[in-house]
Amino acid sequence: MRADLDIDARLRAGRFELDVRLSISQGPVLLVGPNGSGKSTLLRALAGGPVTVEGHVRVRGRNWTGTSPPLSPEARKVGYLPQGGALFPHLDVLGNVAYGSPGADRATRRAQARAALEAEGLAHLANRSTRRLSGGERQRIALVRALVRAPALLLLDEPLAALDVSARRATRTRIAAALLADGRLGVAATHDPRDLRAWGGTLVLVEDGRAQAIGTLEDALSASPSDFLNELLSPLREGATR
Amino acid sequence: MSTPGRTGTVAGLFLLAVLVLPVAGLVGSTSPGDLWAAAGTASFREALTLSIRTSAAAMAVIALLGTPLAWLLSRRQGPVRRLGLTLVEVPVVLPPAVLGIALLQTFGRAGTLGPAMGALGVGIPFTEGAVVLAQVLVGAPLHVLAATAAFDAVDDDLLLVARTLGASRLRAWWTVALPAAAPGLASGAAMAWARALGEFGATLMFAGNLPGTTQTLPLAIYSAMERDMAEARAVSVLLLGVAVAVLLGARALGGVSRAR
Repeated sequence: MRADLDIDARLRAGRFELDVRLSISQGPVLLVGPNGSGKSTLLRALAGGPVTVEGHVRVRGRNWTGTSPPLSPEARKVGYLPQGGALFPHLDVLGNVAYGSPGADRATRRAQARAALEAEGLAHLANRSTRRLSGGERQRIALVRALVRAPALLLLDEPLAALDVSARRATRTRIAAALLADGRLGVAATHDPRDLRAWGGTLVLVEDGRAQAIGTLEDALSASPSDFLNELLSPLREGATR
Repeated sequence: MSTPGRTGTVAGLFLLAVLVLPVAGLVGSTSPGDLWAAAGTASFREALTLSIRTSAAAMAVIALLGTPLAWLLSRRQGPVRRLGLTLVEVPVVLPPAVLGIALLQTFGRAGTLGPAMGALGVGIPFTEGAVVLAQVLVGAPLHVLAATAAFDAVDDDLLLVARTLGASRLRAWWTVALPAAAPGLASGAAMAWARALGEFGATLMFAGNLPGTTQTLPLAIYSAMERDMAEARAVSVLLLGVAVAVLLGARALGGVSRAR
């Protein structure tokens, strides 16, 4: 069976290095690991950011790094949601979403963006400055923007980290739907074991300069090959024994 | 804890007074009649149009070349960035008289590049081009330093998001990096323009003081002082007005881009 995501590469960003060896046939892919272990670097490399890739990155059988220069970010059909959302500060909410809308002219793009915001119940924020948004609103708008081109690969970097508890539950459900959409491969980094349960898929542990697949959440709960993973999953274990 | 605070307030207010007092004294020393008379002379108008023309040309050169340089410096870390910023700062710490000598030594007829330029039939010293070159030299560092700081605040992820949303590298820079840094770029440009407008020492030595060709407003003030102090004061107040207008105009531009 063809792998959804097949990576055998060393990633370099400045002095930082990460060895990645993954072959994952079923998404979504959930990245876990300590802060600074390289989850963001791996997501940036998949988005086509300023990361040197020595080796190959294949997504659904297509080699993205076989050419020099590698496949450009705009040709990858990815939706990228960095930590904090990275909304464009000089544009309002509608302008942010319209920036990526696929329409041919400005009026079409703005209409598409308005429709996308309406579908998520965010139309009331359309004309608001990005400076006057709550953390939860920022993330939800950044998610709408990342999805507006219907990407084949969706990359989320700790999408719930900035949210308060009440916003977290609803957004977690929305993200599960986005990650599992038809024909899409989702890759998300998270620190929350509840995300792992809600989003399913394959766990990838990023630790000590390496990224390796662990298997499903159930595999990880029974095997637990790392202290970090044991600690991360302990709330789920306590829940199971109670 | 409150005593250093009070001392600090007094010290701060004193400095503020020292900064404002000479300007207030200058403005108070002239009458509207003097200003009107000075503004009406042909020599003032000639110097004013020359000042605006040359400083606008210098500003265009600084913005077109300095902004990309600032971007390159902001995306670098380590020794390359430090060396670049240090080189950019050199004209700021050099006295303008030293810059004037350096320009003459480089571009003058007897200077390093003199023979080559003579062969090409190009002569820069004592022309309007020399005025612009001197202004670029003193103004560019202010813009490049402010623009580098403004670009430093533009996260790589902003550009990467723009690329994944279909923008080419150039388009992402033009539509995201540049507008996101616009307030800082505008204030850097305003500082550079004000500095170019006020440039005196290097201009005098490298371009001379030829009415109509190289006599900018600061040099016109210098010449007027030898004839008539009242006229010099009046022209000074008019130059002050032009400089403040430039500063406020640039700030308003930056404010507009911030509010959008």
